[in-house]
Amino acid sequence: MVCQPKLFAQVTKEKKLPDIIIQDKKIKKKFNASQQIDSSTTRFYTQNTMPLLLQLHSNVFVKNYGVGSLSTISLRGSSAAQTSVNWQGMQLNNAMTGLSDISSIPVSFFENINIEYGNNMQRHTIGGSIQLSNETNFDSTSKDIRVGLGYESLRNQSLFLSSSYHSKKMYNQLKAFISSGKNEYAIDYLDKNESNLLQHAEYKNIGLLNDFAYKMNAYNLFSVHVWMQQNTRNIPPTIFEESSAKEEKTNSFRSIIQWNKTENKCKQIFLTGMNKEYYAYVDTNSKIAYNADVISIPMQYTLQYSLYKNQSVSIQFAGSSNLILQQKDANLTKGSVSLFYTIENIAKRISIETQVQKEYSSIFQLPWVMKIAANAKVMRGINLFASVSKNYRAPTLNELYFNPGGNINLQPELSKNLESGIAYKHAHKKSNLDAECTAYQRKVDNWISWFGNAILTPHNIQQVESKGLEINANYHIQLSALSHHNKTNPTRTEVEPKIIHLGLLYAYTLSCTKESKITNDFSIGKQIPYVPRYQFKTNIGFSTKKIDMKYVFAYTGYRFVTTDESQYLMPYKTSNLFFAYRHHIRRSNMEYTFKALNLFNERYESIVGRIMPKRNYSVELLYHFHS
Amino acid sequence: MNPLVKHTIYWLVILTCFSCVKDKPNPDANVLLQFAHKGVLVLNEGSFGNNNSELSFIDFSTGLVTQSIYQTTNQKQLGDIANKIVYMNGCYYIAVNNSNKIVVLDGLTFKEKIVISNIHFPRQILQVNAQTAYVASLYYPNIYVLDLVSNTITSTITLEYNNAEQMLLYNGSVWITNWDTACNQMLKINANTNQLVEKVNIAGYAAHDIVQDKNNLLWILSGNKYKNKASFLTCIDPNTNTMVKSFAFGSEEDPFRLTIDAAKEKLYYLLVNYNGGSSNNGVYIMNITDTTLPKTALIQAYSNSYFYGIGIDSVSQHIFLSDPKGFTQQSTVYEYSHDGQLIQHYQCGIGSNSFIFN
Repeated sequence: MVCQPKLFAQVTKEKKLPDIIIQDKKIKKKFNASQQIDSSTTRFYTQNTMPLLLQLHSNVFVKNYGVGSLSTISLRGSSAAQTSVNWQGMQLNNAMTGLSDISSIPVSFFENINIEYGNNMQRHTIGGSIQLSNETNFDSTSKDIRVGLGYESLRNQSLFLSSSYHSKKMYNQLKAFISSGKNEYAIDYLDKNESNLLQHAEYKNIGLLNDFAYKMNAYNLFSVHVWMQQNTRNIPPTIFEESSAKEEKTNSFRSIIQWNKTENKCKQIFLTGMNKEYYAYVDTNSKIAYNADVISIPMQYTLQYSLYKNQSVSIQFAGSSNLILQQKDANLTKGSVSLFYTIENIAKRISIETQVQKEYSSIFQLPWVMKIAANAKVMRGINLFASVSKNYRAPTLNELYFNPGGNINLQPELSKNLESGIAYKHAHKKSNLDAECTAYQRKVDNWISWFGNAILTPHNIQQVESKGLEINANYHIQLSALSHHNKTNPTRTEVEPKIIHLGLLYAYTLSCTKESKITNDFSIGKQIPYVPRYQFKTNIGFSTKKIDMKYVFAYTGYRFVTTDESQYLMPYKTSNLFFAYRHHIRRSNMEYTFKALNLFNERYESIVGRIMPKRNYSVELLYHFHS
Repeated sequence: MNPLVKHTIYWLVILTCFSCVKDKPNPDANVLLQFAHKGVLVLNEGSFGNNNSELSFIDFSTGLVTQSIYQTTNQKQLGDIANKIVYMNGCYYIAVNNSNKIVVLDGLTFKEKIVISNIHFPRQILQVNAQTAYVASLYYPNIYVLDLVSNTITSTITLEYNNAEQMLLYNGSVWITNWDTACNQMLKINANTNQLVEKVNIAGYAAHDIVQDKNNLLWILSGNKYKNKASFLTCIDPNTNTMVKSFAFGSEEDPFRLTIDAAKEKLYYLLVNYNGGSSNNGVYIMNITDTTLPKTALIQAYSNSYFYGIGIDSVSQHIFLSDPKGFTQQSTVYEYSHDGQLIQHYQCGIGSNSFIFN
């Protein structure tokens, strides 16, 4: 054993690899049609507000009163008040008008833009809702700064700033968006056979959003969200008006305080906040001036308990108080209790969600509402989903108290909804297809319509039935990856994938009056105003690490202006081109974006008398620093 | 791709293409205008902000309605809120309020002859002599003097208050109502000099309608329910410039469209209930010698509706009433006998507000 060589066991050379954190959210089962607009799309809209994004990339119909002007949304043939916009779970719809003006919402403020088509019991929106939120990130300490500039050929300019800091305990993100401009473009006045620049269309939009979150410990998360928005705009004349002296101003202050506590099987969420909006309208030509201050205070407590691995039950108490400050008796207080029960993966295939709710209000009786929804995995990649529900939309403060004309006797609109759809996901080595097709039917009783000319009064006057079909499909193909040598390390080869993506959106919406309380009502069987029967959008794009290109085609069909279809607006189509180039500078990125909208100069009216811009361009610059 | 998926997509596409309602609207064919026939020209003011004012013609011979007369003849839109139509010197003059213009049409062909622009919110027109008309303006204290030969505004009469409404020519003077809640007077203007000569107090404020009876007395409706000004019917003697009598309406009553029959003995007015309720909602009639206001309607408005325009055929004495149905669709025009029996109804344009009988 002398001089035996040393015998060693295998020597392990330990190499410390950097920590990799794999993080994902549990994918919620799909019970109704929905759509997430992701960053590959929103990156082209950092200098825009929501209308253009939704017009080109969703099945939402945007009723646009002009560039930079009031824009409201309609889903599945609903009215604007039946559709809600929610921020971090709080409804943004103005308590007075029931509307949410999406032209004042900057796209760049939100990382998550989700559209839920159809009934949402918790928000009492019978058409659908748009959910806006930001993620809170606690993975490691880092800073992120973004600065963006934009200029449009309509002589509009914008500035976007974002700064975030996060650590393992704290997260704070501050965003600012300022845009202003003249909205200057030529309009062809066909009656007069002349072309003139749009006048009196200047606007200014300033927004500030701050998201703060503090992780007290592994179980408690406290967050505060504050959003201030100030918009002033001149309202240009329509093509049938000689001039306009109309001006509008909106100041809003929104805040949310939220506490999340998760412990073992139990999760609690407490949320409260305030939404204060000031609105002023002046028309010096007709010597009309109007202003109103509305305050909404929501409060919500949710307790969710996981019964077993695949079952959970929740109870939610929610309330809100809404008040017009100028009219002390104009207030509406509501409180509700809701029960939810979810069971997933029955026989590894079926999930069921049920909800039941009862709400009380200070003015009118509200019915029980319920929803039963199911999702079934039919085979690999294919899921069927269906839901049946009852819901309502309560009258707004304007509908109840507007002077003159408000109707304190209004009752809620009552809806019965049925929806079913199929979702298909197919992932191949180099391609994937994500497609969804949904059919729905909804009947609304006590539909509220505003009647009148000089004196407008809302009435529960009609029964409206909506039905339709929606398709949303996205297909990505990865072409052969481009290989090139890394400049700093020539021995290293980097793979740069080239991806072609195709998208298709189609909405067929029949939304007709079924019954009416008016004698000789010729609207029966006719389409609701400003609900196009057909909407079709398609896009084709190409992406590499440095380049993004996209062509988007959008078609909107006939829209009726009157309830008896006696007056209508012609359909229109737009072609739009997007191009972005980015490159790295050390720890920063620079991105240059060019957009050409309405490439083929289509002259079209979004609303009667409101001609939209022909071909127009924008250039944007975005600087992004991340440590 | 899975064959089941392929087939599903295929059938969905087929279903989508063939089960949908065709998009292109298919409006009813328009009836050819036979203006030589006996009938009534209807002015449709449209719905505010929708640029859909129009003219319709109800042909008594056939019972058919010709729609969109202006657009069919002139290949363009008439404008937004056509408030008044007057036949003067062989032409129709239409005050298109929210388009700030007066459109002049040939009285036989309805071809547009001229557009008089730059008039602030014209609302009412009154011919004062062969060459001149007055145009009243909403929101402004102006009466525009319109030369009917050159079709130009030659001067402006400035009033003390905004919103001059209906006007009436009597004995060389123009009597002007002022629909302003601060004004409780009638204004009397010399039609030759365009000068204000007299102010006569009325019961209440915000006068808006005026008619003349067979005794040459003037009847004026005033009030604004939504600005808390009670409504009154006042009778004044234009020869002595004094108030003769007045009648007070209840606080829930909202009268307008004061009209008088061909014999100038019976006054008609509408009470409108914008909530569409049955109370205070319909056509009311009173004789010029009555001492109280009528308690019940001659013709009750339909539920969830109200009447907006009234016209009386001087030949048949039939009463024509328009139901605007909220200004969201075409109006229904009802034809009633003089004693309130429904004869028939027609569909006209949006917001039918006045009638000119042919």
